[in-house]
Amino acid sequence: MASTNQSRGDRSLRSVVDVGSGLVGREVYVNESIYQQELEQIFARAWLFIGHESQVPNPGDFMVSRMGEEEVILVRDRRDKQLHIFLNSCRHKGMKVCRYDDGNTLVFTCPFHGWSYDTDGRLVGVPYYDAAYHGEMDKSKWGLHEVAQMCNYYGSIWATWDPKAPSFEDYVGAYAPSIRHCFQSTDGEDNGIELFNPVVKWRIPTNWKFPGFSFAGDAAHGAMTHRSINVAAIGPQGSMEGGSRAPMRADVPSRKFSAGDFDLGHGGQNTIYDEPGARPYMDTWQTIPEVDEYFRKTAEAKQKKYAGQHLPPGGHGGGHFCIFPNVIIDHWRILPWHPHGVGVTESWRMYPVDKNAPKVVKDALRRYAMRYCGPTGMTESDDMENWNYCHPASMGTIAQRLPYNFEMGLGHGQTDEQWPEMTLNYRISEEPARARFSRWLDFMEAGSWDDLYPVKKKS
Amino acid sequence: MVQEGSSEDVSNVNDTLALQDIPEGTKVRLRSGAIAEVTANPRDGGWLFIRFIEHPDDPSKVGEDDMAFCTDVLAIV
Repeated sequence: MASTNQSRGDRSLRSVVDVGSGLVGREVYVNESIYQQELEQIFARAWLFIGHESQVPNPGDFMVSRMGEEEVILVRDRRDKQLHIFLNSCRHKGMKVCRYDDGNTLVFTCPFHGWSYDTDGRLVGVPYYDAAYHGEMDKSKWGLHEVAQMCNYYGSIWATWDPKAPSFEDYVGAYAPSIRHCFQSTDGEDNGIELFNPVVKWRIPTNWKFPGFSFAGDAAHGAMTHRSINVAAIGPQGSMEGGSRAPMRADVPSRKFSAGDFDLGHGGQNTIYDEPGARPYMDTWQTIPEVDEYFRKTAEAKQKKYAGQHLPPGGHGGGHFCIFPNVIIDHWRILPWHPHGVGVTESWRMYPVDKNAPKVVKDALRRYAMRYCGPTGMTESDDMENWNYCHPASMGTIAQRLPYNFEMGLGHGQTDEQWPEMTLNYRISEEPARARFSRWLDFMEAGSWDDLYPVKKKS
Repeated sequence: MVQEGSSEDVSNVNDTLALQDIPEGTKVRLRSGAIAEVTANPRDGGWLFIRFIEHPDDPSKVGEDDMAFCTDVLAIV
């Protein structure tokens, strides 16, 4: 049973993070021992986003991903085509057995001593096995270390190291339909997307929670942080309708909220649709009419498919959301924030696109994604400037005596029968962050998943 | 350039062939004296997938699939 973690000054974490008052001590972002405890208590237990099946379509295909600080290999077995996820570390002396971002292989051979593993993880080659090991080592016990559970959820791949974690669908709870929705193509078909290659990766000098806990559900920052690009109107519609950084969307009867699941930790800025049916398409790609033509057709197909059904709250215009602890999901971008040290985050960007879209559509979306998002994207350049200074400004002795204020909307949460699991608030609030910190405390104090699930309902 | 390695010293790692570009179907002589056909090449420079064609010490291995490490592959025949 893990003891309650102690912060500096020998205080319990619940006195450093007071969700009920909306106060979060700065040391949870900068304290090394708290960070190490996060790796053990959160990243070694939670369901984490790995990638998408389209990244490994053929037998022997692999891509390297992350679970917390650790590197893992997502590989499709060359014989039975099943997906596996292995820790990228030789069982002999720990060297990485895969040092490429992606590719295709027959085996993973360690460059240190030559131990070689098949694509199902079995140790199949040991140099000097007869002469030096005398044929005595049981190779079956020394295969690559595999994750405890893996889930292919409508093409999205998730994994956990913990065999006692609940099922993936139980873990994501009310967001399951939204995750499925995000991985549908724009015509509403499951498994209709692929990801642009390569995955964009870069490191920023900040704690993973700065972006991870605030990105989905921090509507208040947009007007100030992104003022210049809002005015610059980088959206595909240019300055039409006043311009925006996001594409135009048709209005439909709906209500937008900031939402937090205090039991499971997920949340974002999402939409409850008051009437069934998918949105009609609104022309927005002013300089590339072929793109509008494509999306008009897919929108019609989606309207037929969703006639009589309410759209899920997230994705495809409903808004993005965070699946606790560290991945933001939307239909056009997936943003994992990997911890890489208490003061370093490795940010990844994966961009889904309809796999059957014509080249002109894929090119337009790829350019928009690069303009908007990622290390050279204008929106994220604004965001990074905040996070990269928040972190060092919070490391000092005096700074750490001052809690962060997460009071926005405190006490004004409500529920809705259409989405009963969530605490909803005005679309500009810090309810999602409070929900995340509530679950963060649960994970940090839990001895095992027995303490985490089934959830003990919070009053 | 094809090189031959020493057949006496299994720890002699200096005289090894470059395996990366050996195509499938090539026949190789192993340190054990066996002759094998390359069935697949992972192109990692360390291993070849082989099938025994001749095995002077254990004829029952003929037709069997195995992996050969670079220090055990002496020559292309």
